[in-house]
Amino acid sequence: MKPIFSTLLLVFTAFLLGACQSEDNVVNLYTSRHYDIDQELYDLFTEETGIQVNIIQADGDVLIERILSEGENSPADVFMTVNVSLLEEAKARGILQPFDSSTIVDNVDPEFIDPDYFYTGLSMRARIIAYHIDRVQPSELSTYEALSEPQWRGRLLLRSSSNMYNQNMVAAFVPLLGEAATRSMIEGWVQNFAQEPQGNDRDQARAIAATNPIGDVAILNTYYLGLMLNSTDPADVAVAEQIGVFFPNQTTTGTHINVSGAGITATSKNVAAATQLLEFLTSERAQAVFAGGNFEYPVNPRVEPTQFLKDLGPFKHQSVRFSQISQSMETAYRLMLEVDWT
Amino acid sequence: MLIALIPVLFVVFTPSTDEYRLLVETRLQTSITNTIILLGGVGLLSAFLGSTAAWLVSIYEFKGRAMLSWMLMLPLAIPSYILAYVFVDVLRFSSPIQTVSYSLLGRYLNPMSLTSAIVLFSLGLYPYVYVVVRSFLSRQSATMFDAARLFGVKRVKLFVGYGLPLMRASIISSVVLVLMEVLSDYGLVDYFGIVTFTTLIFGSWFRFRQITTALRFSLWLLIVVFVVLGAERLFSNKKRFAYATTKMRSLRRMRLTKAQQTGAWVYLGGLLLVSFIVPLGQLLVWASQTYLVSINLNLGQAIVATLSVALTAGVSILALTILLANVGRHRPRLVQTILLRITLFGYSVPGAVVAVIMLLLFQRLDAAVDVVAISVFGLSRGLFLSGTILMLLSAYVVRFMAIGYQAIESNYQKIGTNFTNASYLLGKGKLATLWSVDVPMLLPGMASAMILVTIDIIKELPLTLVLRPFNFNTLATLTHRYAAEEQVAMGAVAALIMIALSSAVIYTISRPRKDSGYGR
Repeated sequence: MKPIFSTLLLVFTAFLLGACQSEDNVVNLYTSRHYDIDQELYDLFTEETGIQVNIIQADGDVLIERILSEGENSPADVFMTVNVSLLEEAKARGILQPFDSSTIVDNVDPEFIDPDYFYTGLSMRARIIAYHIDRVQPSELSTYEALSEPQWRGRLLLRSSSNMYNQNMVAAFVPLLGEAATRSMIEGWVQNFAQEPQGNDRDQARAIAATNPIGDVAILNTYYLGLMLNSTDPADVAVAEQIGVFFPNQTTTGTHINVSGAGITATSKNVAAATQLLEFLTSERAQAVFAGGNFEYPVNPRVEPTQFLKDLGPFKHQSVRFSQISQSMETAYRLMLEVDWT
Repeated sequence: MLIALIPVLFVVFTPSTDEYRLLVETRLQTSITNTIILLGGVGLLSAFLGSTAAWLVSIYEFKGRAMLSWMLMLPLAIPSYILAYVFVDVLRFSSPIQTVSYSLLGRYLNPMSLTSAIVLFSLGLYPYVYVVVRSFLSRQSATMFDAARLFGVKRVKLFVGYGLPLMRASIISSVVLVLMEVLSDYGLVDYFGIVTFTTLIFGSWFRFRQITTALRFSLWLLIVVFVVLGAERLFSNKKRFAYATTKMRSLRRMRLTKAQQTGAWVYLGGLLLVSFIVPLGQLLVWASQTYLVSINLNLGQAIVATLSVALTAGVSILALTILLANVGRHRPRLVQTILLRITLFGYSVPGAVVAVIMLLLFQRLDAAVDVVAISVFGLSRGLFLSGTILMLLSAYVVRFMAIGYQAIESNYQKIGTNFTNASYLLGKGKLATLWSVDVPMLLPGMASAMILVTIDIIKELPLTLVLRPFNFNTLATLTHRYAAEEQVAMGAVAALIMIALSSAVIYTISRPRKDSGYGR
């Protein structure tokens, strides 16, 4: 018994001593982004500031639960996700604090910053209509709403309603069109489905490009097409080459975008380093990496998007308050269930 | 573990919400239908594949048997979502198979259908049945088979009339593991767009922000599990064999004719081909295209991390299950059943749900530690255990305890209590008996438990993602990083190393050995 007890005591003391370590030169990041360029960015940040970035990467939903359960003692300094509705969620549940930095405000297009400064956008992607370049003329396309018309019966491809991007998109229409019109739009989509929703965004593109096509149009994120065009897999390149990109709703409400972003946690022990990280990530140097490596649109207006996106041309995007999207998420999912979107 | 159950039990008493009712109205029927078809299909197919394969390599002698016999475990090493990505790619629209299918059937085969999910799960999970049944057969006495052979029983008849009843208990208990694995899966069914119970759990949790509703559905899941288990007990209760003699000759395998050997090879080789070699080949192709991105991945660190958590948790689970099973087997049947069901909780609900329960549990533990720290040392330690590797390790134990328990307990049933009681009569203590009498007899069960548990931890994803400490990566999380972004090809190198590691575990524990009863 005795040796066991003393060992335990020793371990316990070691943990206590561990607590006294200075952690000024570290910023702890909980992120749901998992791209290669992210690590590159953190390395650049460390190189520039000497501050080390510690990372836990998991789904945004569960990271929120982790921060909440860690409570006051949470080691997290920065929370980063691929969609702002989760940042809104985090803000609403009290796990973020406003940042205090004129650099960030100066770096970022104001519409991508939370009006209360609880988080900033870091990059943006457009959720566009993808079509087969031979079977569909761009002139046949106009809006998301028009995809619910009978001419698209059996031709529309969408992934399942459990997908966050689809949920965000439907949620954005709730404040724009109202609940009833949003419902009839997605009800029309479901009627037009070429097949039961399955697979990811890329699989929708593949189903359009098949020799005996499954469908003709799909709604997906631009950067997947950029990645496919530049893929090491020749089959993916061949698929992407047959796909055209159409920015819908240009004369009306604008094309839906999803924004990835980050905020400082309410319990951060190292607000200065956390702020520095956000300042760096919105800087021109970092934004160029976002744009170049991952085919995302930068949120810093001084940085140009990559050639692939420039070739697609400028477009008008939806301007819905992020908080409105977040507040409509439940309604959106309810509507998707009601119209039986798998 | 009991404490971990408490938050779930509370849920029963909370009033149901509109969202809960909406999910029930719109999704429950589909999810129940799909879940039943999925479980039924995977149960039958994996039982068939696993038991026939185990039977062939245990009862018959043929060229290359020893090698096939351990290679048939290898599909365990491939996570089901990787298998899904591979087969979606193999069955891409431009593939020869699809071209042929279109010209013959007028349509493409759908690689993401419910049928496809059944086949993929079965291909990836049949080794559970195979491992458990084979270890059971390795403990069979030759006497019974000799009798059957003397009477000139035909081969198929030997399997159906004699083998199946004999193996029934071990088939059923291992199929239960397979079914739990299917029930808790989210990656594959979500990718395929198949609505199951997990869809309900995640829908209510992530979209409706109702963790209680999510737990309520988890509870539904548990009820399904208990029904399945009740059926298992019903089937396996009747006959309980135990050795009464120490003169146990191990099986003498029957020779096969040339033609029969070819038949065995085509069947087993074909199974190995689709379940392991094709996926491996596809991953190699991907790796050859993308190996350059892997250079930045810190693979060395991930290998060390993966191995250390898998082995530490694996050994802990093994030790705990032996203790637990040992306590259970001298107690009434009811106690055994309850023990089993508690361990099954962590295994049958989705990993993310277990993760959140563990977070809550450790938060409470830390609060308790903090009270002690303040009163004894006068300073607060804040988070003492949360976020440490200990949290992750205990989560693995909660999650995978059931696998160890199933494997060990079915072995104990076979051994019975005769020898142990004899040892007690001879005045040996409990621990001494456990060490010198039970453990040697449990070795085959322990080996299969260790293989199943270790490999499951090597592949584990949802718990590792959420509960890991800072900068902690396993090979599974590195693979997932790309798969999550629809770039599974770029994770191929990490996936291959993960598979190699699992294969090494299988090989070390059960490589063909001339002198041991296991793996021969």
